[in-house]
Amino acid sequence: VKQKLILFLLFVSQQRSPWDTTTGQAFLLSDLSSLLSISISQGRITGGYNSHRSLSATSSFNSSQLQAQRVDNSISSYLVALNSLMAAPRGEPADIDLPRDRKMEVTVNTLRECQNFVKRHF
Amino acid sequence: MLLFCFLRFNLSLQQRVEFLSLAVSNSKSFSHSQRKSSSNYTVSTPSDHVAFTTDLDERLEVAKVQIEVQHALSQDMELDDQTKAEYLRRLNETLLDINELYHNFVKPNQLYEQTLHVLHVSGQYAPELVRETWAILIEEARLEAERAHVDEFERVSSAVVDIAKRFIGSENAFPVDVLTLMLQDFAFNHEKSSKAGWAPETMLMAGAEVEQIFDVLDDVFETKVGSNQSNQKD
Repeated sequence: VKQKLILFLLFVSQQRSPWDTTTGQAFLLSDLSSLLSISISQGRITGGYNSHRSLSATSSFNSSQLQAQRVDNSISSYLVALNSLMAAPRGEPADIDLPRDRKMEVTVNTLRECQNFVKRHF
Repeated sequence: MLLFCFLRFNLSLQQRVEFLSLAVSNSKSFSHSQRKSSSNYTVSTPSDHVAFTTDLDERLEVAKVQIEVQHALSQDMELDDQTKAEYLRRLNETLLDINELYHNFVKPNQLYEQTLHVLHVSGQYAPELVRETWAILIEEARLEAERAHVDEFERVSSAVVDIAKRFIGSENAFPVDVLTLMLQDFAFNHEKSSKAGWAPETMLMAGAEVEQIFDVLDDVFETKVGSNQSNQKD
């Protein structure tokens, strides 16, 4: 068993980063949207003006929460990236191999809901 | 009392650790006023006393690793009886330092969870070792799920949460950035059938701060996706 695990380790060390592929990027964005959605449902978003984490060290920022302004800005960047991934001119869509809850349309909807919530409440 | 812990008296490891725990408690409860009134006490200043207590505390932490290693080796089915008995005898004989424990017992027997305990207690920053160790622990959990025909994501998630809870806050044993990316990789590489948010949710359950997890994933986005957007605009 232990020898098999060592071989597995060798295999893992030779793998390419999945985030270099468009499918990997769609996958990553689905996780980011889920994290933001979970954060909202668990009350982990807070108001305030710190839009970048470098400011947090000098403020009374609580790292168990995310700053609303930062969330809003990040979501805008993610939506731009998703639009670009979805507008690929030829070939199969980037999310063709991904399960239903990771499809880019679902991610876009989740992100829009999160952004609307943040704009309404903070 | 301390002599009992470290010399080769006929004591079990458990008894040595009990003596050491008592020594730590006594040292902590030994107030400054008692020190002044005690003529036999060799540690003279408050700072000496703090250093002495800290040293004892650290030795106790190492001794707890030794107990864990002894338990793991006693359960190891891959060791033959003679080798196992010899290991257990040496572990009972005296309290060892963290280097001896790692190089003579943990590393040769590939005790992965104990490797994390060693990294935690020693304060050693070893990024490659911690990455490899977690990769194997995650793969072990996946293999267990495969053998038991249960959901591999649930099994991996529960293994990570159980182990991480022991080392939360320890950058040496549970580096949030490394673990977040490993779970992301795992989710992507295993049939891509993971529920959206599985990796960050597992990290939250393990006790990692939401901002740390978000920082890691957002950094990947900025590096891999965001930079492509900028290049396209240029």
